[in-house]
Amino acid sequence: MKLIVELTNKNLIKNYKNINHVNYLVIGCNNLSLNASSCFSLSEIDEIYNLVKDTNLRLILNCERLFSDNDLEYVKTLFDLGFFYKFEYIMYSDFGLKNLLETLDKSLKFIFKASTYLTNKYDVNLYNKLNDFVVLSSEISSSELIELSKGVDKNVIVDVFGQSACFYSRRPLISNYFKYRGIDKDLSNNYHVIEELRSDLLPIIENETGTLILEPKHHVIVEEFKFLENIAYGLISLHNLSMKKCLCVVKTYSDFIDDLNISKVYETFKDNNIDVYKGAYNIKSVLLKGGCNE
Amino acid sequence: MNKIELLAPAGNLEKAKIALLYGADAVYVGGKSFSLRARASNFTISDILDLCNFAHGINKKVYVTMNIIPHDEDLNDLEKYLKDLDSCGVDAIITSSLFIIKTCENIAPRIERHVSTQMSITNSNTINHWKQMNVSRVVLARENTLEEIKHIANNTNLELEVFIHGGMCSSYSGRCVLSNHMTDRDANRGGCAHSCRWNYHLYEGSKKLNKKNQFYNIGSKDLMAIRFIPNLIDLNVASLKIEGRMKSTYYLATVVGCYRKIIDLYYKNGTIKEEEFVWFENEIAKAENRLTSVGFYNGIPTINEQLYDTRCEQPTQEYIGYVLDYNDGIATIEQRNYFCIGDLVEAFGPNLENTRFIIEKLIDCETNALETVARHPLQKFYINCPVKLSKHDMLRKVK
Repeated sequence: MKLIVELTNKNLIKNYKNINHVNYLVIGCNNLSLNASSCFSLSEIDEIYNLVKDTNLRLILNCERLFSDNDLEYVKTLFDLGFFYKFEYIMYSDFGLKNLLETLDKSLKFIFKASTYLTNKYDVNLYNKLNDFVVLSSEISSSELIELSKGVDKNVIVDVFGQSACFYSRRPLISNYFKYRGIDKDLSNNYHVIEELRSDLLPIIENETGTLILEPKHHVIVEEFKFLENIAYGLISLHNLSMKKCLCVVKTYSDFIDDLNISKVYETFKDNNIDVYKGAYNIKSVLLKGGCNE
Repeated sequence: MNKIELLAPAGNLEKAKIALLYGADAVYVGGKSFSLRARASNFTISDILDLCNFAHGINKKVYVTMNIIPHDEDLNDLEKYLKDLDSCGVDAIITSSLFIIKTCENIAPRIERHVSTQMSITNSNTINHWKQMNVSRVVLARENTLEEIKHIANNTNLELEVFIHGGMCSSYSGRCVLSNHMTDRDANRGGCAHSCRWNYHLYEGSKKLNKKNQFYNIGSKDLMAIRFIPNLIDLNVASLKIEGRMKSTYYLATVVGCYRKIIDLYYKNGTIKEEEFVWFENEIAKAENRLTSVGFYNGIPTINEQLYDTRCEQPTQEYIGYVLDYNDGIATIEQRNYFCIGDLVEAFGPNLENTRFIIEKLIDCETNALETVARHPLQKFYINCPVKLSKHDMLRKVK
C-alpha cells in the first residue's frame, strides 16, 4: 500500500517528498472542496504545482462537494483556464462534475469518493469500472473492510486516517443560529457541538458549500493493514493538526507500512497528543430490522 | 403533455389503499428488505401483490423503495426479491445503489428504475450520468431551489420527481451518518435516530454560546410546497412526492386529498387564487403536527425554515372515525379517537366537500345501546349524519 496525503500547508511539501510511500498530495480549493483541512487559492495551487512538478509527488484535487448547475459554470471557467490539468486525479462525489469534465476532456482521470456510499463490493466494482480509483466508505465495520477488500477489483483506496464528515448540509446552520439568537461571531472561528446527553465534541464548520459536522476524533486503520493486500492506497486526511503533528502522522504511517508495528503507531500518536479512535470501523452498525417493531 | 403524478407514501396496505382512494396516482412502499423505513410496518410480497392488483385495477401505480445504501450482507437475496417484485407487477423500484439498478435491469427489465433522493441529485449533469445508467426517473435532492429545478428541467428529458410535502433531513439525504456515530443505528440502512432533531450545545473553544435553558438546533421544519404546485406543473416535472411512510391514514387522507384537489384545480382553471391557497393550507393544518416551511424552494434556508426551541405542535383537528357504510341518514363508523354526543365534527372524503354537523345520536353497533361517549378505538358505532357519506370518508372533531 502507498499513501495519499492531504496537504495542509505548502511548507510541508519539502518534508513529504522525502517520506517513503507518499505518492500523492490531496489539494483543497475554495468553492470545489469538501471537508478539506486547508483550501488553497488558485495562485497558491500554481505555486504548489511548481513545487512538486520535479519531484515524485503528484497532485489530486479535492473536488468532493455537491454542485448546482450554477456552480458547474464556475467549474467550466476553471477548465478553460487549464486548472484541472495540474492534477493527476480529480477526487469527486458528484457525478455531475465528472460528467461535465469528461465532456470537456475525456483524458481527465477521476477518483470517486463519497464516504457514505461505497459500502459493498458489488457497487465498489461497478464504480471502479466508471472511474480510475474509488475510495471505500469509512462507514463500514473493520470486519466488513477486510472482507470487502478481498472481493474488490484493484484501484481501491482506503481512508486510513482522518476525521470524516458525519453530516453535510447545504444549510448555513451556524450563521442562521447566530442570526436567530443575535450572536455576532466570525464564521471562521473554531466551533464544535456537543449533544445534550453525550460528551463527544464534534467540530462543526460552515463555509460557502454549507455546514459540515465531523467525527469527534481521527479514525485510524492499522490493525487491518495486513489483510488489505488488494488495496492500492491509504488516504490520510489531517484536520485540525499542527504541521508537526501532520508530519508525525505521515511518518508514522510510512514506517508502519514497512514494519507493521501496531503498538508503535498508537504509542507515537499518544506521545504526540494526537487523539485517535476506530470510528465507525469499530462498530457493527445496527439495522433495526426484525426487532424494532416487536 | 402528461398530467403530473401525485405520489404518496404508505407504511402498510391500509394506508396505501387510502392514499390511492384519496387521489394519489401512485404510492411508494417499502418491502421487508432493502427499505429505509425500518420502523414502518412494511410490506410482505403478498401485501405488494395485493396492492399492485388493487392499484392497477384503478389505473394507478406501485413503486417499491429499495433505497438503503447496502452492505454486502444486505444483497444476498437481491435477485429473488427482484423476481418476486416483477411477478407482483411492481411498476418501479426507487434505489440508490448502482448494483441494484444494474441487477434489476438484467433480472427484471420491465420494472422501471428510479434513482432515490439518497443520491443527492443537484444538477443536470448528474442526471445525464444517471441517464447513461438506463434509469427512467430521478428524484431530485430536497436542497434544490425552484430556480435550480427550473434550470434542471430545461436541460434534461429524463423524468423528474420532486418532494412537495413532509419531513426534511437537515443534511443532504444519504450524506448524514450522525445517527450511526451517536447511536450505532445506521441511517442509510433504515435506522435513522433523527439526531438532527436533538438538542446540542454550541461551543467556540471552551466557551458555550447557547444560554442556559437554550439549545443549539440544526433540525428543519417540515416541507409544505402548496404554493409552488403551479410552478412545478408548468415546469413539466413528472411527479410530486409526499414524504411520510410512518404517517397515519388520517394524515395521508388529508394531505393527499388536498394536493389532489389543488393539482386538479390548477389544471382546470390555470390559476390558483390566494383564498384557495389559504383554504388548502388551513386544511392541511388539520392533520399536520409539525411546523412547516417552504424548504429550499425560495432559496437557501433562513431562520424561518429552521426548527429552533423545539416544541411539539398539535394538529388543529382530531381524527375520530372512519366511515364503513351509510344508509338513510345513519353512518356506520369505526372509532379512532374519543368523541361524544354534542361534538361538532367535520366529514371529509375523496368525493365529499367538507361538511360539519353535530353528533346527536350515538349507537353501539354490537349492542344497539344508546351511548353518550365513544371511548374505545376500533369500536363500531352508528351516528346521525345529515349528508350522504361513503365508505372511506373520515370524520374529525372541530376544536
